[in-house]
Amino acid sequence: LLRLSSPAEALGPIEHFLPAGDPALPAVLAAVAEGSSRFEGRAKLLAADGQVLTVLLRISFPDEADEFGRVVVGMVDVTEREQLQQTQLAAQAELARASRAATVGALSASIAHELNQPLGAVVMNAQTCLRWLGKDPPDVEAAVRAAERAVRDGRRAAEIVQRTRGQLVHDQRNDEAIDLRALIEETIPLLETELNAHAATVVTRLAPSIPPIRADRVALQQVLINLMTNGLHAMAETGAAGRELTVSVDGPAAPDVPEVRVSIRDRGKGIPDEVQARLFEPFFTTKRGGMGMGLAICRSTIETYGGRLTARTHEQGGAVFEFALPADQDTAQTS
Amino acid sequence: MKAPAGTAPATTPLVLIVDDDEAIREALTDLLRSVGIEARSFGSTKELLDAPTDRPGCLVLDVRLPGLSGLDLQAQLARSGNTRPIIFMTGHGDIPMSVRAMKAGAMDFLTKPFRDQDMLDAVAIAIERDRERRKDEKIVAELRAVFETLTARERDVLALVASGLMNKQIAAEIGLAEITVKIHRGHIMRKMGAKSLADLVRMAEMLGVRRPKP
Repeated sequence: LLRLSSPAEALGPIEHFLPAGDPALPAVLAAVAEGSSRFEGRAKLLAADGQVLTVLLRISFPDEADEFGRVVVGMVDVTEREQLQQTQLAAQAELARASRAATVGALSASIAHELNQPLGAVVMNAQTCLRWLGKDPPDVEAAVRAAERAVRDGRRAAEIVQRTRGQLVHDQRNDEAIDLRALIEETIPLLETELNAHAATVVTRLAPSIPPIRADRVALQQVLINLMTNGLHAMAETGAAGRELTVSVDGPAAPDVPEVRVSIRDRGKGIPDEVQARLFEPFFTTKRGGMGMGLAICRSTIETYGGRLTARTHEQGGAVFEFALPADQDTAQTS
Repeated sequence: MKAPAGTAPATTPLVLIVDDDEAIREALTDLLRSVGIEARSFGSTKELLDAPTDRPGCLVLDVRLPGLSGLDLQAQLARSGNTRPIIFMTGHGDIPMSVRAMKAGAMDFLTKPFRDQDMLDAVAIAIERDRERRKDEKIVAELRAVFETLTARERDVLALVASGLMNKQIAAEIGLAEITVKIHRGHIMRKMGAKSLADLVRMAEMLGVRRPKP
């Protein structure tokens, strides 16, 4: 398995086989410290020819400390299986991105056309209004009619924008009282494959008592998934040991503001100044092949429920995305 | 100041607008009215086909229309010999579409929202071109009416004159005495109201009168 040329090569300290920074080593040591009888898990191993293998590892620990000189280790090479899985994941992600791009493309083309009609009419009416006023003597009555049409058509354009935003954000909106802590606990398992693919971990810090909020569960879950996925992507160049997402849920910052705050912190490079200003703009992206719609939709979703979404760079590095949603007063009073 | 629709004299220009958006129709109609141009608007190309065609003017069409599209209508009108100038409007600067429209003889292609002056200029040029076209058509129609009064022999002679033959050659060609050809020519000049030989040749050209193939 380890491609050794002679049994002698197998002898030596464990560092020969465990690449630095692999989370398996501390996990093994932790198991030993806890006095477990065995360790089971996934680990990266260095083969003698330098290739990195992914293996399922099973180590049985002896009962007595002085027997640690020899432990029985079972290994199964799953490198190929892992690579296949990763290829599949990449293909799935690519497919999802392509279909999102197609949807957004078709949507924006149709919005552009639909908006252009009333906007064209607004401009033409305003120009015509000026012409009636510029006559000698001015035809005020005709100018008023043109101005009224401009107002009417401008309102129509605004309605189209509202309606489209409605369609984008809460198609089949289904609001309910939600405990954000529970929603986060439910959401993390959905990201398990992504987390594994990025060799990252999630740490949650949930306040013991927070009020429920009112929102569409699916829409809000999409926001969480989006923000956490962004966080994972941001840590692509972070050392494997440091890839940690911290998801916190807190109560109100001030007692008179009944709200729930959620923050998602990654350990990436943080947000450059030139990016910060445009972060939430539609079609703005720093990812190769990215659509630039994720954060725009997230912010718009959070705002739909009376909240706000902000981003900043953490003092100790990494980006923090934080949203606050108002506490659900109805449920709070009845419960 | 403004003559009510229907009673306007046949020489007063009329702009026909086709756009599926009522707000655009209203705005454009009023824009033209503000400079004293009468316009009538339609929601579809089908309605347009019932519009009067006896007055000079032009068509202002949106490229995208329900039913028959603006470009289809342009092709259909061209096939039926309707050469009324067409100005296209589009909601988005679609280059290939505008190239196609211009190649098919469109006067202009304006992207909404356009400058009011651009539209008014385009309409003014289109109306002027349509007036010219109608004037030419009227002259040709009158000439044709006169041409119809010529005898068969006179028409033959006219065709040969127009192709540049001298009396002697014409006489030989159709087997008449030179003097008889001269008399025919005199009749033709008088009936057609031609002041000179050059004038007569120009008229024959406008009518498309050609020397019969031997």
